[in-house]
Amino acid sequence: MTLGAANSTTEGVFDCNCALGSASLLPERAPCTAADLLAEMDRFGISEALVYHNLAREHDPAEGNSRLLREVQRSQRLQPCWVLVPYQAGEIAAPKDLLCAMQDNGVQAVRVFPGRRDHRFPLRPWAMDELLGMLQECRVPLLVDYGAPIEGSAETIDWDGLAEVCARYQGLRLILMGVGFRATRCLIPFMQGFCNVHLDTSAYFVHRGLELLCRCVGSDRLLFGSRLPRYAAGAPLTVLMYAELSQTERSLIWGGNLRRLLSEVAW
Amino acid sequence: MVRLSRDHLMQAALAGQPLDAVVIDCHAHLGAYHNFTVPDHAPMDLVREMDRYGIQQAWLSHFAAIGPDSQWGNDRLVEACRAHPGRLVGYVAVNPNQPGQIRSELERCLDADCVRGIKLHPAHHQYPVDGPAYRTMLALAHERRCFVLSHSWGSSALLAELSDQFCDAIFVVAHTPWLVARGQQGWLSLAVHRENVYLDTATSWTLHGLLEMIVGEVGAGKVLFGSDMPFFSVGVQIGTIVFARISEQEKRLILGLNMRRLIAESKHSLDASGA
Repeated sequence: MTLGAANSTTEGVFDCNCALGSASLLPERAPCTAADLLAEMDRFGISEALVYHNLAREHDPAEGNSRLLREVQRSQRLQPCWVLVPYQAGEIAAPKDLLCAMQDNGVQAVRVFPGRRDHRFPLRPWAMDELLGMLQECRVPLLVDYGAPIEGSAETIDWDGLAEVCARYQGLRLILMGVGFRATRCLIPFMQGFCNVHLDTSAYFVHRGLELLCRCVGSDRLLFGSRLPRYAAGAPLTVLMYAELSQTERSLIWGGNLRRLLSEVAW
Repeated sequence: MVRLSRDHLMQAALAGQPLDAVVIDCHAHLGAYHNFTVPDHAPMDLVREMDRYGIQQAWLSHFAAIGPDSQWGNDRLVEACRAHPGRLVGYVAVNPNQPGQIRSELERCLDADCVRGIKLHPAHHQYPVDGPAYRTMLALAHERRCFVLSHSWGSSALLAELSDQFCDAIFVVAHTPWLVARGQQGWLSLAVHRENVYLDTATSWTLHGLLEMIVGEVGAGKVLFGSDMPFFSVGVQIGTIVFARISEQEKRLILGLNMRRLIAESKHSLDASGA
């Protein structure tokens, strides 16, 4: 099946890794409004995208999450993803209120940027127990992005911390974002050890890496991502379309897996 | 969803079909790599991957040759290129920290008909680009009128000097998007003004609009498709080029027509000089 032929929101490409809004490092002319992002998605045959607002990452999560809802409200193709930090300092709502707000606003996934250059917090049970427990109970996917300065290098991902989280919350659907080609020696043992861990493919450009992961962990845990708009979508899309996979595996990766995860959210 | 017009290359990529184009990868590698996993790196695996994408030829250096054991690595390279004639072409690499063997090793490998270039890796060998060992290599490249691809050239000012002094060699600047993304615009003006300097595309990521900017500055005729395969997937740069907002003809120049022209000119000048 060619990508252009599968363009409905039930079968087409569902991009797990997109952003809206201006950004410090956004290249000139990169799309940053909902309309521009949708046009860019059309260019690549991407049906839907899970999007966060860059203001939530680079400025203030509450402000950015609110802005996100306003900007995606008219589009059925852009699914909102809120950015979270630990709630205890009052920067975001407490977990119970947060989850109610998510349910009211159709937010079915959340994203964290715990790295030192982003939101600088410990993604650990002792800091985030109540929230992680609720996300596990409601089966809300948690997208974890360490935003490595050297494009997803293994060194900046807190594998030990993530292992602690996954061991404690074994039902938590965790999606590792932007993991790069150097990380395989950590990534495969990690994904084999924790069966609810999924991977965004947007930066995983290992030579025949998708084939390797399908053999080692299965195609049902890989999610197509592009990192639009900062990065061009042609690279991850081309890697997926040329990968030596069955069409079933490819369809799962390009959208089936993410749709399944979101359909399993249970408020 | 809006139906957009897509050129033949984009349509092929969206269908995962081999590109109907001249595609020559000017920057690839062979072998395992110590620092991270490189699956399926055997020569036949690379050729199979090239077949999937429609890549006719890849120019490659062996990881061991740009690392700990140049002679062993170059031997594996020549074996691989001879096993896949016309599909794999070699860049010989020699450790500059062992200057005594430079000339003999370069000549040994360049005398093999499947080796047509020299690869420098100042980062792995921790040797200055303008050091005497590399100057010896560049002198031979000038003499043999062959390609020289370096992981880094230090500065565009230094490359300006080297490309002028060794004017019959063809110099390829590796990882150009990475350099330009860090504000190093000097490489672009050098490529514009120096006939024997070209820019390759090999990076593991692609910022929105970056390739378009590079092509806008230097022209598509000065840009060469390079993938760094199997360091990372060849699909990264194939996808970057195929989906770039440039004309189909510009894409075809970058994908392989430029390199094909350079190879033909280099061979012609080799034949003409009797070398």
